[in-house]
Amino acid sequence: MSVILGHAIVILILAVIVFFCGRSVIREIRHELNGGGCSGCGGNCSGCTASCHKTDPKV
Amino acid sequence: MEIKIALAGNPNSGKTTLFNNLTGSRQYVGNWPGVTVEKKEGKLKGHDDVIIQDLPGIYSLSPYTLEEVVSRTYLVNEKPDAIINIVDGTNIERNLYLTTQLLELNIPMVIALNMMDLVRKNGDKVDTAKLSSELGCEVIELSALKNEGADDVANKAIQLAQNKTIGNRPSILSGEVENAVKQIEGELSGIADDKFLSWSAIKVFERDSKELEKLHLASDKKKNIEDIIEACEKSMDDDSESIITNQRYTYITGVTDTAVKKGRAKGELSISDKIDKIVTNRILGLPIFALVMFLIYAIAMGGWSVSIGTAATDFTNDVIFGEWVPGFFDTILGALHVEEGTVLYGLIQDGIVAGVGAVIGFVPQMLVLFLLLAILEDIGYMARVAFVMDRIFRQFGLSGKSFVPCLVATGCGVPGVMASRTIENDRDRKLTVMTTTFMPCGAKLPIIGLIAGAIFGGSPWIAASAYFIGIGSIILSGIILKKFKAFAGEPAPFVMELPPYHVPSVVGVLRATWERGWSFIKRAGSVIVISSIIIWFLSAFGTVNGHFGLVDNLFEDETIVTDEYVQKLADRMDVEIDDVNAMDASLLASVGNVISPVFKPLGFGNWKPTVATITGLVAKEEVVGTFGVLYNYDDSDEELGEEGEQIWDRVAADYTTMGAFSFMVFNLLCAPCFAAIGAIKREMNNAKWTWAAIGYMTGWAYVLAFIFYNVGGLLTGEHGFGLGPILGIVLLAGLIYLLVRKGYQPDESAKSLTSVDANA
Amino acid sequence: MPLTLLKAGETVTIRKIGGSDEVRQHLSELGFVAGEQVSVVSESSGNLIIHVKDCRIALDKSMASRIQV
Repeated sequence: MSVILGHAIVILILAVIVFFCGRSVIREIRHELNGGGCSGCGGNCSGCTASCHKTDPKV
Repeated sequence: MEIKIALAGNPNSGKTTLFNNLTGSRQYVGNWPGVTVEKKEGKLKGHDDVIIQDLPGIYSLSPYTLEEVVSRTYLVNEKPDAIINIVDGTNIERNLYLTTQLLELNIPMVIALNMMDLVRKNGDKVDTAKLSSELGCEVIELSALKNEGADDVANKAIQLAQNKTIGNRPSILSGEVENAVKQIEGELSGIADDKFLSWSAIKVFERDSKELEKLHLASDKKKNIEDIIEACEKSMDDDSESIITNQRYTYITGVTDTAVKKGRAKGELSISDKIDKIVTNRILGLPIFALVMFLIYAIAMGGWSVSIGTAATDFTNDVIFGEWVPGFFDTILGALHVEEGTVLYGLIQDGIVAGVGAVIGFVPQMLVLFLLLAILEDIGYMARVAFVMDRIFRQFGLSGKSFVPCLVATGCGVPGVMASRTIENDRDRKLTVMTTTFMPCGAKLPIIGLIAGAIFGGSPWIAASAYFIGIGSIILSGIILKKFKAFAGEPAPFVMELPPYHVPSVVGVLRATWERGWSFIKRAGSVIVISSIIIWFLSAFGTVNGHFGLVDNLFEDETIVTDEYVQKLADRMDVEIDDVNAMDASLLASVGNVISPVFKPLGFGNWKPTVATITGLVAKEEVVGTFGVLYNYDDSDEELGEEGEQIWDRVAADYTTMGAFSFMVFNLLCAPCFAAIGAIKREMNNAKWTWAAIGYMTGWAYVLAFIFYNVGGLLTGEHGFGLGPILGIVLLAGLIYLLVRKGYQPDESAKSLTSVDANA
Repeated sequence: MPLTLLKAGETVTIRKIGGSDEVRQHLSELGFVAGEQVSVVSESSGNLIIHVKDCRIALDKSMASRIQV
């Protein structure tokens, strides 16, 4: 396989990774900044219990 | 047709567990409008048309706390179709106090008698049939932890809701009081809602402020009612609220005498009591706490053989990211003909692997830390800690309840900030929210590890100092801020229920640990990958003497990199000529250089730490990730991605001792990551206060770092006696002044602004 | 005498609760009412852990001193 093809494959994979990561990052930052951040909750805290498990925080 | 069922009960009665059992993952969390009390509702499993509304844990329906007001407003305005009253079977008498009030609302109700497994273990006997008939509503046994009985309770509630069965509500009041209240009912008929007439009358008898506010009684009615109340008070020689309270308890005693037999004599100590005697002992309490904390950190991060955390981290750094991962990528990339020296290779190995590797290395240590903290929380020790620390904190004008958030924050700042909800005093709560993230959280550990390792030879004192500076900042901030009008006032008296200790549930603890650890890994996976890529790109490309391109390659060309140019670069980037390297000519360096003067007075006015600090805003662990990329320039043929001597040596070369320390201090104390900012925003519920919190923390961080660098530098001989140290001493003096001055003395009315009034 | 003067292990009956309405109500909701038997689990400089109505309540000095036994 040629050098160019090898490069192309890696770039493609990277692009896919970047796209998905980037999207999730932006979503998460927006979500966190709006107060939905439960990044370190652990299910035991006096406040946050429910929203840590796959829910949409609907206010 | 939708059925609404309210879930009400004391705090610590197992309500949350029951709610989770009933609704599974179909929950919605928000806030009750206008207040910071959390509103939770969910759909009952298997029933799409049944909504369970979880009310905050309350001891009664008085108008004194936000939680109580929110609950009663919901019950009276929303008129749920049924109520599930969860009662802690090991604590029936106190729990029934709320029950008597709920019964007065004349809403169909079923009582879920929880913790029956504990009741049996204690040797107590509860006759649920008798209890049922005495209270006039069904009692169903439950063991929420074991998930037994939840469905029965739910089905019964639905049945009651559909049939609108109220049953024979007992009369809790007797004698004169009953008469007086009936008279008031007469006065109120037509004005108050018929369904809630008796509830309203009782509240009016107690002179309940919220209820009176709602009713807007005409002045002659008010006088009549007042006469009735006063007559009763005089005759019973007690105030109306106490009269009702006593009536309730008398009634409850009557009920429990019939239906409940205690296994243990009153006054006998349970195992939890015996443990508490030692753990909260006046002399032993603090040392025990210090020992517990020391053990936790020793196991997670220490350098001893029992420190499984450190061992795992070392393995991850040296082996996984030192050999396996770079080797793995090397092989794959080689197979795809992406050779070393190409842009792509550099991006992957020097950017992503280096950046992510630097951070993931710390995951084992953090997992161990999270695990230990989760165990501590689960067994119930946290409440005791608040009690033990209260004595000390009160000296500073704060209550022990302000301490628990700090403790939780050592794992992650987000739940730490949320733990401030237990503080009743609104000013103290805001104060706690503002200062909790001074504590080094799990994500800040890599920063401590980096500085300690690179500059201070891995000394454990650095980690210790980080915690001291953290807790010190919280306490000092508390003292200083409380002298200002906005925060002045006595802390609320300490009243806290201490739930019995219980053996930590393995599942619960592991789940809690995993959740926190996983979110850390997720962050590493997404945020850090992206930033590593971006940072790598920006640091790999730049303009060298007019030529734009890969700085590494350009630097090899001697025609471009003239001595003159190197000199100019050295001056601009403020580095020694010998230390100039390709990255200093990069795009990132130029950008970083614009902002770096801000940090010059703190001892790290170089573009690299500047960039690292800014990336720390997204996630604190990113500081190290950035370092991993920026200090990974390849001036040797060795392996990459190691969090070992290579990078550390280069880092050490860039900073003076105090400069490095001040860098650490600044990053530990300044504005927290986005997630924590979000949590602060949610708790403050107010943009102004959120910004104030962020501003305060960053300002404090700056001042402290300034003092450490300049005054500390003076003491260690790094600096001569120049402008910096003089300013440092002035700032220090200023701080001391703020600490010891008299401060605003509030008058009686401002003494303790409760959350209820603050939100009124 | 106020509750704060008790030592660990003692059991007494509450005679009266002083203080403002709010405080009194708060305490009574937790079970502290006249006539109630309580026992002291642990005591440290006036801060107490009390056994009342089958549960443990931690009180600081200022609260405990309002409870007369």
